[in-house]
Amino acid sequence: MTILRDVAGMLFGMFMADRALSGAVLCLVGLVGIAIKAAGLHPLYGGAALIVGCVGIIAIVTMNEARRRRG
Amino acid sequence: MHAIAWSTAGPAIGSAFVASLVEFVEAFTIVLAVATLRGWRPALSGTFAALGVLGLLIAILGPLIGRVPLHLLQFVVGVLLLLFGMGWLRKAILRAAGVLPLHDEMAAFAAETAELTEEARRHKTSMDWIAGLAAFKAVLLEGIEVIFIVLAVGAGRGLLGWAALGALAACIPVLAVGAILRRPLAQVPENTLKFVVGVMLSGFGVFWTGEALGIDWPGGDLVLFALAAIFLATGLVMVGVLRRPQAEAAR
Repeated sequence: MTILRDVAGMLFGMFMADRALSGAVLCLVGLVGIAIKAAGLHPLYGGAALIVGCVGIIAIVTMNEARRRRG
Repeated sequence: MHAIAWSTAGPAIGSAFVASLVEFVEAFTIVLAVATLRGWRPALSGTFAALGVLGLLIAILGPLIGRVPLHLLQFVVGVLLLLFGMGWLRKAILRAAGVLPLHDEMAAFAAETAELTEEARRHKTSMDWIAGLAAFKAVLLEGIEVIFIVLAVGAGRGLLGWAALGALAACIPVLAVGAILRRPLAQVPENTLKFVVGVMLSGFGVFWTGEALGIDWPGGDLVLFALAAIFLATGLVMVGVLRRPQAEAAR
């Protein structure tokens, strides 16, 4: 049972190690999906939004983590 | 495996190779700790038992992947790659900037050895059993990550075989160097490798997620290189930005 728990914990950690990052990525993908499929945004603009969003998320989560750890 | 365009297969094979290299080094450290403490018998028993379980997982998952509609597969894999790749990139940036300590294989080796000794003392059970179990768990957990990476970078374009080949190729140098040195592979620039893997997997994640959402990427598969370049530039800029306050404080 310990092994199963470890595997489950590892799988969760693989994708959700930083909840802020995971939440932001899921929100971004959801928003871009809605914008393309429901609001009729041109897919290429959607692609650009996806790239810019991911870059922004990386920048914000690393800065927040650095600030938190350094006090 | 049929003839392929290297612009398509190259990133998949490269990502699987580099990511698997990191995972194999981590698993090797634990197996070596077990072998040093209790000999190669429990270490290899645990390793082969885990490889058996991983083989079973592949045998079950492999045929299932073929039945999932391509768009759904691309979407799920794309989002999981974004979560996994950006997670690795985040950690690699923080380590490179000195916010988080670098992963130390010698420290991991010492910690595993101490933990095994303590476990055996506490439970008063056979040390060989505990040691074998530790090797089993290490190989199983790192192996699951390798399987995910191979599936993730290979499944969307029918490149599973090539990605698996990349992962297997990573096993060879780790085992060869490990067999010669008989000590943890502390010289492997693990954070640099994780940085590279984070960059590549994040690029794959954006690519697959976009394709699943109906984005027809300009340049086709070649856009993967541009996406990787964007994530690489972002990572390097962030390392520079996060290092600066530390350098200023030291002055």
